[in-house]
Amino acid sequence: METNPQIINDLAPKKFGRYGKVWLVFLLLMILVSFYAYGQQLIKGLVITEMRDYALWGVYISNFVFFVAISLVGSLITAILRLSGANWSTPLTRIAEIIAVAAIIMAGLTIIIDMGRPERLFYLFTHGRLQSPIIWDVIVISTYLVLSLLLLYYPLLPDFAILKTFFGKNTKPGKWYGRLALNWSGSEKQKSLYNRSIRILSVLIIPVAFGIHTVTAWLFATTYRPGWDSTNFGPYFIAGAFVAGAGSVVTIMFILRKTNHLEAYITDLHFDKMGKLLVLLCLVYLYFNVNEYLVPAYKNTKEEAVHLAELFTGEYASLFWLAIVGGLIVPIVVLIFPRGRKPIPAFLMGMLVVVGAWWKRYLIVTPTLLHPFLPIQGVPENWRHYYPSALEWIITFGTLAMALLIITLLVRYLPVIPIHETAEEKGIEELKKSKRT
Amino acid sequence: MRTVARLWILLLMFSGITTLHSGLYAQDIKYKVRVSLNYMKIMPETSLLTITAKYKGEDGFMPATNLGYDIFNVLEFDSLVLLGQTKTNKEGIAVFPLKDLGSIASDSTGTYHFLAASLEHPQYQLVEKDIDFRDTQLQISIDTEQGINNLNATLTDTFTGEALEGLPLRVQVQRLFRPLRIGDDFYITDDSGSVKVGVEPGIPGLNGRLALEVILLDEDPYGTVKVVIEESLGTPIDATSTFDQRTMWGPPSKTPLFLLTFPNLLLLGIWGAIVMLIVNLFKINNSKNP
Repeated sequence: METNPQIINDLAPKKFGRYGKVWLVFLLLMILVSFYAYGQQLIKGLVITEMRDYALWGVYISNFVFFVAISLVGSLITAILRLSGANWSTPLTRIAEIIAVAAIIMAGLTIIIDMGRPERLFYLFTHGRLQSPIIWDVIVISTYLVLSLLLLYYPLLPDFAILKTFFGKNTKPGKWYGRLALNWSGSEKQKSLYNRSIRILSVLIIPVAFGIHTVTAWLFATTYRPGWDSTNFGPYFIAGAFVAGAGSVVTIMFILRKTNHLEAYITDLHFDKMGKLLVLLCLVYLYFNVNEYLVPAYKNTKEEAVHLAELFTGEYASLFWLAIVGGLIVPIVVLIFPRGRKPIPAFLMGMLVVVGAWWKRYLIVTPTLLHPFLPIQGVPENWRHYYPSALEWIITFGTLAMALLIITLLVRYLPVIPIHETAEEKGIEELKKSKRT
Repeated sequence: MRTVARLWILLLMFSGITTLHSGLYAQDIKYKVRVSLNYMKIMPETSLLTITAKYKGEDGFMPATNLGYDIFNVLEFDSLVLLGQTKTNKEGIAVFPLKDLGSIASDSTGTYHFLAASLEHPQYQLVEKDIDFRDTQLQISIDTEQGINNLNATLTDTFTGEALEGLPLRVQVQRLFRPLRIGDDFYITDDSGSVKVGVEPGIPGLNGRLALEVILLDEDPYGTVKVVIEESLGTPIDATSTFDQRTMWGPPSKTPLFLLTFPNLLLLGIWGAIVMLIVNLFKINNSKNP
């Protein structure tokens, strides 16, 4: 198993530089503060949040839906593009898998944060009803987490073996990579098991990924509420998740390209391809958005009219238009031009998409709860509105920091671009060139 | 510099005094409790004293919880006999059952006298409340005249045995949230202490059974007196309950079979594949050499 030393040298994990350390300390501080806030929530209960009888799901559930959406990226880049033979995506697969793992771990944790009595988590399994979409969500999230971990781990086996040799068998990192490589030697039997397993994983993860987003959509759509009562919610969520996931990959691949000096591996071509893909995904999601808002606006039932008025021109109008125009239309317009798909504009559009995607989830969750069919009465005035409390924001930012910390640590210790696959592809390319000459 | 030091000393003194003062003052605050004491009789033999206690806090009236009371029977010349103790719950309500009212002493006119005296409590001031009442008998019966069911209720004084005339009785059907009134708001007892109320047909009840109740509500000096009779005078409820069926809204034990079968088969398939993938990792680990 020989690999070009230059490639290994470029792609092997490197220690944090000065900025990396500052970034790590910043994330740890944020997490520490959020631990204090969560401690307050554990002691005093959910009363420290601004969630009340009507806004019973708030920023935590919006954040959960966001994490679930981001996690779809693993199956998009790795599985779908792999199965469709799009080899250009090879340098991006590891990044996508890392984002997916971080996001799905945090999605699970966010649900626990949203629970008033987290010590009763086990009741979900002992007292759960199979008829409830919440149980379906619990099952499908655990399944997707295991599959995402396997999808991250399997392609790493040859890379771990390479890194073991690179760092030296007797060094501390070398020993660790050696253990994780599971005695990988590239034997025919190992290759056969490896290829078969990756093919199975790539196929298996797609329906499960679709399942997780559909079931999360059903948490809303199975209730009879304005804004949620839609048969389109499953595909609408999947389309939105593809957009959020692709946006996050564009953002993180730009940052990693800069920090890890990967310009030779993540090229302008990758931004160009991802930009085109993002345009397509944004267009599909825009279509679903038109569908979700135009049909109820046309029917204009009393409850839907109030809900839509709040979104279009009311209390949530600024956020709504930020999510639609900033998070979808502007990226489509910019990325449709080749100059817009250069690394910097693509990165900015990716950021915009991710921020828009987060607020979109907030807009899906909160306004509907504050417009129930029965009028809100006999409650304090502030229960009619929902503005997350400072502690809620701190906890939410803490979860986002934890997701970024997981990504940062995985990026620190794993090769962010698959070494083995890159070397193989480069070898094949060189072979083709030599045959031509 | 000296001025700053003086200011510091003044500040420390001020904060010390206010802290000490507030600490001492905190122990002095005891709320005045407002108490109502009521008598209730549920025929044939249950007699209760009900105490409701509240105090005016910063946010308006609040229930005075966990406040103990001694209950006394007041005899002639104001001598007291301790009957027992009770304590208010989180709603500020305490109930004291008067077991065997016949054995408790009344005065020569047949009037009972009771006193509830609160016990020491760190939060509330001491308070007393007394009540006088006479024991009554409220009898209920059903008869049918020309196909119409009538409810008859008669109220008499237990001590004198005389009928009680001119008292309002409510006639109603027991319901889960709020009783269903029959006819007028109340009926006044005649010179024989009776009322007669027609029970209209068609009132729905479980298996046609109606729990009819007649109440004398908080009338001086008799308190509240209630009698209940259960009769098959109503129309059976045609309940199309799916309680025993396997439905999407049923309990876990009533999960629909299709929901038990297909998702579990799907899960079995997916987790079977996951187990196989994990086993493959072990196989890779064990097949080192070409």
